[in-house]
Amino acid sequence: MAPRPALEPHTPPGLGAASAEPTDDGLIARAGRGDRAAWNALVARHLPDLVALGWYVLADRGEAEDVAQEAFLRLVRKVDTWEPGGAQLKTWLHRVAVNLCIDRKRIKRAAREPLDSDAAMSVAAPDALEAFDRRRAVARALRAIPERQRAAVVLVYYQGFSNKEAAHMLDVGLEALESLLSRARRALKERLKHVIDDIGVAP
Amino acid sequence: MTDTRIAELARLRAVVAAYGADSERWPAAERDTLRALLAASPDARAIVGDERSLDRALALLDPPAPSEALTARLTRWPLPRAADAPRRGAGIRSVMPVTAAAAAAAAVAIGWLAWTAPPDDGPAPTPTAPAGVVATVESADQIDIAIVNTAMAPIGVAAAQPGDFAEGDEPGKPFDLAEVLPVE
Repeated sequence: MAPRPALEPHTPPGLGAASAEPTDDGLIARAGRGDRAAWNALVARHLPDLVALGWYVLADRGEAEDVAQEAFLRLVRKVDTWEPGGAQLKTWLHRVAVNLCIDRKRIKRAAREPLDSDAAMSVAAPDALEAFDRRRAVARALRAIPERQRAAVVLVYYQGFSNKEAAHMLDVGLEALESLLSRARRALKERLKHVIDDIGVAP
Repeated sequence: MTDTRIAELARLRAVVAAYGADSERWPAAERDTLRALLAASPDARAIVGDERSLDRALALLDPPAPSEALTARLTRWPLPRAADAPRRGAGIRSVMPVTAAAAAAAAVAIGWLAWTAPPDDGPAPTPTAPAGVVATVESADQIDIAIVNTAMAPIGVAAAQPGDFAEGDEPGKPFDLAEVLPVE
């Protein structure tokens, strides 16, 4: 079984972890009344996934954070008119973020490596360097496929959305989503042949 | 091999080509059927195995966590305030109604300067307010802002409450309201 990417959100420093797990609708209602703690809980719960989504699609941490910030800006304008029981917040935020990513005309294809350069400097052993090279190859391969294909892979593979949710976010039907995913994986396999071969023989 | 089995394998091949080897990602409506096929058919297991390496390669990426600066920025954004919000809760401060805040500051400044206006031949006083001066502007349904000068702070700037600061801010240091408002 392939390792599944972690989907648990990170907890930003100083925000603490929610133990009672209030619903998003409940938190939005409280934030709409000016409850700062509720707003912070929403940020803690959803910001990491939005930044990750932007990073996978745009391959740039700065742009990913811009997209996440814009998505939250749209949310803060809606908190006092949000209708509970309607759209799920996570789906709504991701749909906004996906559209922002796809709409962005400035894709920095070669300006910045999507992998943290500090990570590259911190590894010294040959095995670690090899692992870094593999990660960089995967990042480049992902960056090389068309944006909508990339977004489909990110939503389904990295962020764990169902096919229906991902299709809704991309505003396509299920068959079109499946086509996007198939073409994406086919292209990724071609570009990552050497990595796949290495992984295939690894214990 | 029956036609049904051939069709099932073809569908499995299409699903795996799109969603990968992990059945958790497969369409929910087909998951059980395809899992049963997987358990029963070596051909099915071979199809899935071919896709597993790509899943493992994709799993090598670790996305970055949000920066502390972004988190701090988002958690400082002003929130809307409804009519039923607490009217005088400790530590509650909104920076949204900038106009009202400016009016409050101006009112305090004008009042204080008028009170301390020197005689024509006297020295001009420093425009400061004593500790503990609190000015509020109360509209129909809310208190807009409280200006609390915890020291002899210059009038016209709002000294923030301790909980209002993000990392890197200094409590007691005057701040610009525009800095914490999102850019339109």
